[in-house]
Amino acid sequence: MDTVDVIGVSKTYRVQGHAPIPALREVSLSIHGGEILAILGLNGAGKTTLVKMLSGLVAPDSGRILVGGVESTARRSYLGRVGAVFEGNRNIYWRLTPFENIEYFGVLRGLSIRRARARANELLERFKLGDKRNAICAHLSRGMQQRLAIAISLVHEPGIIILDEPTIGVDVENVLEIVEHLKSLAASGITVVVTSHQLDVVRMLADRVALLVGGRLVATQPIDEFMRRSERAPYCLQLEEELDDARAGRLRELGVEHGGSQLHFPAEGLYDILDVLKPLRIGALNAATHDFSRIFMDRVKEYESA
Amino acid sequence: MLDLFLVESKRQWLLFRRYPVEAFAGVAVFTILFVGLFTGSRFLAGQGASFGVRLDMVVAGYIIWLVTTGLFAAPGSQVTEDARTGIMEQLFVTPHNFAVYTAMRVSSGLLQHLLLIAVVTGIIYLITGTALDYRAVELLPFFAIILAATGLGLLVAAYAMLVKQVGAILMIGQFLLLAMVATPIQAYGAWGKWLAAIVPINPSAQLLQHQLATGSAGKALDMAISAGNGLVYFALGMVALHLAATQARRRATIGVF
Repeated sequence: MDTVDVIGVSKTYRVQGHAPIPALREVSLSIHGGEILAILGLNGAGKTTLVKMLSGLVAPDSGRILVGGVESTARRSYLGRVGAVFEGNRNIYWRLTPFENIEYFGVLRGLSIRRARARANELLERFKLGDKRNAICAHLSRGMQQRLAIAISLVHEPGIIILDEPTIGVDVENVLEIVEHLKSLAASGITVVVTSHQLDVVRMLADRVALLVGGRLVATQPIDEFMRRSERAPYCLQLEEELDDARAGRLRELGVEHGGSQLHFPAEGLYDILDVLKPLRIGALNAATHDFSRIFMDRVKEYESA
Repeated sequence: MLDLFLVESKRQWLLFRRYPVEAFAGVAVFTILFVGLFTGSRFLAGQGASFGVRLDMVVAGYIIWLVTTGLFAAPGSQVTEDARTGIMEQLFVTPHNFAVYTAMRVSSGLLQHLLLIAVVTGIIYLITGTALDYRAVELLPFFAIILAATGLGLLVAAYAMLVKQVGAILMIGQFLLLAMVATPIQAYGAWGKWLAAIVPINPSAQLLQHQLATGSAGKALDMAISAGNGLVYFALGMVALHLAATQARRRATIGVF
């Protein structure tokens, strides 16, 4: 099992005639072997830069990256430990078949032709692409192409696999299949690093979350803890009538946060709060803990304003 | 590297077999171009005109130019195509040096390129009735041309690595190559020979053209200049592409198109 250590990594993009754009600032992070880490952040937060650095595709301005103790600067041995799936349809030759793609990239990753062919047979079966081995990739569905891209990234048996938005444009059935594949990879000891804007996928997949805001790593937490952070206000209630001052005061005492007609409050105060609201009309009452998007946005705003 | 050469050759062969129109369109265009030039020249010279050795020189020059055009265009086109289709990033996360990998790709496509030129050459022989003299002595300048043309192609690929747009360069480059192949620079005064030595491809192309058309053999010094010219431009291309790839990694523009 390969652990990943990112130590004080920074990157600034410099384009002539434009102000420098800091993409990552002093990011440090450790990822355990066999763990699934989701890197979260808004667009421009530095997620793609970080995963491209982990993949060996972008050189950091400063700092170090190690996989299984091997520095990213030792390219040959470092890249032998890393597999990568980049965003979009950018990982396969569309005019070749799945078998030919895995064979080609296997040899490109340093395997012999014989070994690459053996791995192609194994991986096509494992990723349920055996019946498509001789189909031209351009004719495969997006989900199949993405499963093939993941299979290719594993051809040289890396210790860590990095995936940038692996489920974009993929249908639900294939998303669930990809999630299961990634979980089984992690269970077999492969470290999985993933970025995604699809937070439901992150929730299904990740053991731990790393949150990037403006190029800074502001939180790394087990996903359950990340979710619990907002349990101080796990319920969201929508009122259909104006709240009078007396009720508003009593609700504040019970720990209710309200903005307009929406109230957020902790689980233990639920029935006391309903007593206070009686007989006002209630439009909706939801358990907010399941709304990962809201938690994510709250956390981003919290760190942006800090 | 041998296994990589073999799978790359297989990839190019599969693409040729599945999509042959692109390759044969090139054969048709280059044949028609020559036929146009040849019949136009015959018309200007008038009936009964005999071109003799000059025709052999022109045919040899045209074939050499065809060899150089493919080698010159291949690396830059591959870089822009791989960036456009998005595969470039996967090619960079391998243990291979990108310049070595690109040169390997050019060499694995060489056989296919030469076979297509052989088809064009056969058609030209049928039309013109000319036949060139192929001997072992032709090999050295021929390989020197391949090296120099590939080196120029790698220089274009280096530029493509940074800007990903080389269409205009590739187009203008074809005419520059024609000048490099066909201009007898060594005949221009006392310094001509040394000037020719530093112009890419020129000393080798002139030497080979002369040998093919006249059946003579070049002097040892000419052979040495030809070999040196090929090696230097190939090395320049390799270094430039390596530096450009390193720069692209630093700028994070590898997959940017």
